[in-house]
Amino acid sequence: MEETSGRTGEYLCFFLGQEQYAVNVSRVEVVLEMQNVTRVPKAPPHMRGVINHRGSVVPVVDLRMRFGMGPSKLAEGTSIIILQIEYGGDLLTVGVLADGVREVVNLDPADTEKPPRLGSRLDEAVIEGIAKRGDEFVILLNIDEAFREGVPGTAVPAGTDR
Amino acid sequence: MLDKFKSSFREEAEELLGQLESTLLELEDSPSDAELLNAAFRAIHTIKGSAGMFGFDEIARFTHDLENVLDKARAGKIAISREFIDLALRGRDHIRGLLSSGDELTEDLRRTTDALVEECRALAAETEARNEASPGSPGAAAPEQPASGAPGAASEGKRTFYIRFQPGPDIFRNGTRVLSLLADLAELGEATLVPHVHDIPRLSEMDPERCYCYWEGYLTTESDRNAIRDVFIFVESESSLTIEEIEETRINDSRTKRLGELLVQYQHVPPEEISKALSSQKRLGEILVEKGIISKDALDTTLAGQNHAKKIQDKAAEAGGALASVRVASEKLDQLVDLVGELVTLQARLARTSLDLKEISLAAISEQFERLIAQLRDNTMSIRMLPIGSTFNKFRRVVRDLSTELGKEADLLTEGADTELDKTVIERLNDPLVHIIRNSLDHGIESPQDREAAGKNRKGTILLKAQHSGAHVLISVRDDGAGLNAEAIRAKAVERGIVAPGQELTEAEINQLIFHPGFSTAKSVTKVSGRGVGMDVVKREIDSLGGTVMISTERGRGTEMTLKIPLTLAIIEGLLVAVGGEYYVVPLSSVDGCIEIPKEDLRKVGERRIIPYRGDLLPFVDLRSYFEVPGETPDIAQIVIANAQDSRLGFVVDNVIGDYQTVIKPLGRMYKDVSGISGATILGDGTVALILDVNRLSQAVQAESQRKVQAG
Repeated sequence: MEETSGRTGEYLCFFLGQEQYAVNVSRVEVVLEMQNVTRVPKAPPHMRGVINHRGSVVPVVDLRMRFGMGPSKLAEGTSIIILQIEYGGDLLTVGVLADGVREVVNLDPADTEKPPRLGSRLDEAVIEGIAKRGDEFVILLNIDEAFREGVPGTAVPAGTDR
Repeated sequence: MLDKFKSSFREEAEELLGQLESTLLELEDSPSDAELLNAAFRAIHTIKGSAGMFGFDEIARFTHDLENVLDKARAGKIAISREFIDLALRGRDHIRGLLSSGDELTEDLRRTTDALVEECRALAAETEARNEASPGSPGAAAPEQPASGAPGAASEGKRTFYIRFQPGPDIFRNGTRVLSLLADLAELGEATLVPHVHDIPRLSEMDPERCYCYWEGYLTTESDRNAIRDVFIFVESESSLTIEEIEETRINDSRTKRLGELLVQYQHVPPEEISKALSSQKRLGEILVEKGIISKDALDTTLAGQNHAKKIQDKAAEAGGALASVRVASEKLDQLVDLVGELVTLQARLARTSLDLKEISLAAISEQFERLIAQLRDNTMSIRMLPIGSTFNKFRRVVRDLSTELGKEADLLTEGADTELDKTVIERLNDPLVHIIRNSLDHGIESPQDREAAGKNRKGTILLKAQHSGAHVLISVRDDGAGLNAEAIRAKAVERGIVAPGQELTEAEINQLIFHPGFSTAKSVTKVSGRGVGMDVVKREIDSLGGTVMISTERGRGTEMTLKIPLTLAIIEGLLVAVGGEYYVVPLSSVDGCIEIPKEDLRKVGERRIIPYRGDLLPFVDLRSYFEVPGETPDIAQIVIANAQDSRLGFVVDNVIGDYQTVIKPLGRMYKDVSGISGATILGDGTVALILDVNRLSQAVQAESQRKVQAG
């Protein structure tokens, strides 16, 4: 949250279920159409598998499961957002499943509100802020925190998919 | 810019220091080998020079004294003793320390420099006193022998000619370009030519169309006399040309003998004049010319001959030593391997597409492409291969230092130093091998007294051996020490609670116990080993390389540890299998065979999970249920039999598709906790298949069946 200054205000908005989330575009490498994801057996359920991205094997993570929203449907319209994240001190390329990718919008991090203490299913650290666009809310994700090892994704028990 | 030079200096120095260490260790074994001493001197000399140039003043400061000591040894004034080697080795280590400390100079390092400089000076001074008496000590006599090996081998088939070419005075008038003739001559081989220009008159008297010069010099070439003559074929009639072949010995003379000796030998000057000239302190050549004893020309030619010989032999030494190699940053190599890997993948896709399209012309292109890429892949892989010998030297040092520390006597012998292995594998083998060798010295080799009492040579031997074996390399460390003590190991294992007191164990099982985490049989905790970390670390590291460790031991005779390591980590041959809609690759090197099994039989076998195979009963894993793959087993399933580290097991799959060249891609850190999968590979259609970790799966299956036995 304290690191928001100095970043560009451009964010990529996407859906997880009905909720809108956004990540800073500087972290986004490319958005891919849904493709065959190779399942890795014996891995945690939110690790949906791996794909071939430009000759490298890239893990695909289901943020909905990570956040306790039930598994994503691998349907048409589902996208894989390839992101650069910091993971245990290294830069890592990962794919994230999104139920739909909307658009790139300009959001001023200074205008965003701090997440409310209550009523959020997410860990506070994962949320950089909440922006209001018209009458919609967009949750700005701190993507590094979302992948931090051992961070419980949720304050609500899993399986509350709407 | 300077930083770039500095880093290349560091790299070069690092390499030189590596050579220096092995040279010094060899020198200790054969102190009379002047070539080794020269090599050591040259290494230090080069480091000193470059260090001064790039501002590594501290290194330059003390290498000067170290060089001095080596120079004295070369002159035979210092004997090659153990102390001498010790000092030189410590000097080498210190240079390394200074290099890696960067620009920061700690007080500690400075003190070490001072101490070493002091020691060097002391050694030099101490021997100064008694040197006069023994002019014939080791280093002095040896330069007479031509360096064995390198120069001889490299100058094989090459001959050296003396050439004198005096063009006719009118040569310029008919348009001949003398310089291009000389350039042609130089192209035949290694040439050293001296122009003689003293006949050129003063400018006012000079006829610019007249040739006043002549040339003399030497040419070392594979061509024969006629080829040389051919160069001058159009001018021969009007010029005077002399071509004489020179015997090999004369060249070697030129390298080692002094100018005076050469002049005498070539009959330019009688010996008396030389000694007369030598007594005055000017440079010999100048004096002789001044006195009119020889002409300036004769002097220049002889000097050129001396330089020529030097050049030829340096070249030969270079060619023999470094095999005319190019230095390449290892990241570039890694990138190259990645790119080739992508090409291999893309080619597989092309082959598939051309098959689908049934287009003959495309198929032809694809096939040719495939052949080329296979060659490219093999070449690229071979570039990454390094001889393992480079690390062997490090181990000699380990043995030397450690045996002194432990009060034991031991030699390290090596075999198969030129066995080639992938660069990454060699790097990762280093630590496990150091550990094994340390263990051999610490636990294996007995003290000299004990050895004598047992009727053995006081000095123990550790044999480090590398050899190819199919797609693997076997690296063994064998000592002639006491061997493993089965009772002691057993007792220790019981004490540590690793095995139950009454448990029946085979000899092999007992030996395997030393790889158990937290196991150590040393009676006292030494600085070296015996802290309970050790062999289990070795085993884990070798496991992660996809290799195996085997032990054989004989009480009183010694122990042998053999590491079986795959040649490369980047590409393997794999057997592609399908389970449901998922693809897996079993490394072909561990596949023993395939059998079919009807679905009912699989069901009948049921809980026991044992199948007969070639007279054995093997456990198996049903990958479908183990990996929770959705779908039904087909009516006839396939079982792939694979060799794991110390057992065989079967994998039940739906289909065996065939063998498949596999570029291994890591699964990445996010999947580091997943066991049973060692990596991934990209298939022809661009999807990812997973590579089975046979050893891990075998362990998991064993653990599971043990649990069942205990539970039932």
